[in-house]
Amino acid sequence: MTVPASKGSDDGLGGSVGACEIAREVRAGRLSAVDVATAALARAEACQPQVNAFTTVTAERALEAARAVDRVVDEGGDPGPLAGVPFAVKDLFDLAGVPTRAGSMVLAERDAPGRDAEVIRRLGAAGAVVIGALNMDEFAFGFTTENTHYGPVRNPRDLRCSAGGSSGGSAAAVAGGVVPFTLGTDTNGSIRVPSSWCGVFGLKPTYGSISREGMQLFSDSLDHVGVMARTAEDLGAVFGVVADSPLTGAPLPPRPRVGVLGGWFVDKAGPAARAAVDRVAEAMSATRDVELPLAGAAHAAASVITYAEAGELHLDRIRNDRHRLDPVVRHRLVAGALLPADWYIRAQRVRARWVEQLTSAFEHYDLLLAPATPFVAQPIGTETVTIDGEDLPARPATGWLTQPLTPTGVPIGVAPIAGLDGAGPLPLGVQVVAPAHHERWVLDALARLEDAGVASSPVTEIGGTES
Amino acid sequence: MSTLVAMAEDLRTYTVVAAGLLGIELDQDEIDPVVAQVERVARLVDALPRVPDDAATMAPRFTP
Repeated sequence: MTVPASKGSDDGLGGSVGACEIAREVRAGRLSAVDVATAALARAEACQPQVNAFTTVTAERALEAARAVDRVVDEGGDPGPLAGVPFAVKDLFDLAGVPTRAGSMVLAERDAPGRDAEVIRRLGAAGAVVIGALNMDEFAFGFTTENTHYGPVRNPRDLRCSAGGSSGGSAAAVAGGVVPFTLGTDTNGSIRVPSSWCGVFGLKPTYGSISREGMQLFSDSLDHVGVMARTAEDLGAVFGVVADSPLTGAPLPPRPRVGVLGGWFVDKAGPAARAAVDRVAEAMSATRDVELPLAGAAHAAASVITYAEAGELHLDRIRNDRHRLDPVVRHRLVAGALLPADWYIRAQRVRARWVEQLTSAFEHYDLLLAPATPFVAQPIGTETVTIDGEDLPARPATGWLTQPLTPTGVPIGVAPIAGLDGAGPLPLGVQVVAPAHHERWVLDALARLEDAGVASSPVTEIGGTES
Repeated sequence: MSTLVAMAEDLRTYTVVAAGLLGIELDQDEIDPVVAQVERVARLVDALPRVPDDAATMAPRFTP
């Protein structure tokens, strides 16, 4: 079987083929892991000038790992469930021998870590092949990956637009067909926002379910590790490898009780967001308007907690080395360090009540739905978005619908919906929210939406057509 | 605006003094942007309802 090196090509195991399919072919000896890695590296190189998804490409390491997989197959051994599957990671996970930048110039000058982050070790043990590190907002503090130091990540669906953030490179590399899956992190929506804007499937699992060892933190009590991919099956396969506990429990009931979050989640959503939710709600026979009165306060609480925890985390850096940070990030971090303890504790108390409120909703519903973003991807540099006649501050508003849900720590998937009226080629994601440790229900729901043709993540030929 | 910030003469004074207490000597051109960020967070805090203090938000809970 041939592996085309051109970006997005699909005449063989090219850019639009999923992780599970690649692994099946490599494990069966029908495809060489070296050929797969070579093709992925070529796609990364071809994509980079336009999309700017990568901060580092680890070609030599990738080919060495791929050769090791091929040797195991040749010798009749088990190369692992993700044998030969190329992937890349947000540039805040340690890769041995490569400085972990976290989107910052300050960190780029530190010594390179001596070993991989735990999640990368697990993926390597499963046969997956890492090909590089991905661009992001500095210290993950942003929703648009308009990085001052490393340049903006452009959206493969429309190169004029942002890929979203802070895991913008992770979403763009999947949407552009460079790799079938990537790792990202989500503190206020940093997996869900770029998944929505780039039109890929995303999974922010239950808080604490994936190791953060060897990762640059942002806001300790909110940081989640997660996955982006082009199919629900691939999300599940990767989660099964990197999670501390495998996917267990009963599958999603055949007729799940599905509610649509109302109030804040409708008031802050634009027409495309409401249309996307309508489409998913209809497919899942959802009940309308589940009102959770603390949602707006939860958004505020998440913001306050983020500022305070990020300011504390980076205190030494902002004392001694802050002038080399992006000015906007620097000012946010300094402000965060100065917040009165009263504010942080108030936010955490609201968070505790909000968790109770959301948890009680799951007594009546198996799943809840909400848009992932209020609007589709915006052109890079956009300051204001007008929705229903109201001018909104583009960057903070981007996270309005993801931020309230993060403090609860429950698993949330993103179903990418395309073909929305007035949105052109740009998709928008719908959040599928489940009770804690019910990742299987999220993945089952995403798979059903995929099977029904409601959600999909085709590869975009950069600047061209889909395959 | 709430609590400590309301007690300060103004937000600018609070920002400069609090930064100094933490060992952060703000440059003149940093003060206004940082004040703007503190003010933004203060507005968010105003959106937080006062919920009963059960002293258990972040305290350990042991089951006998």
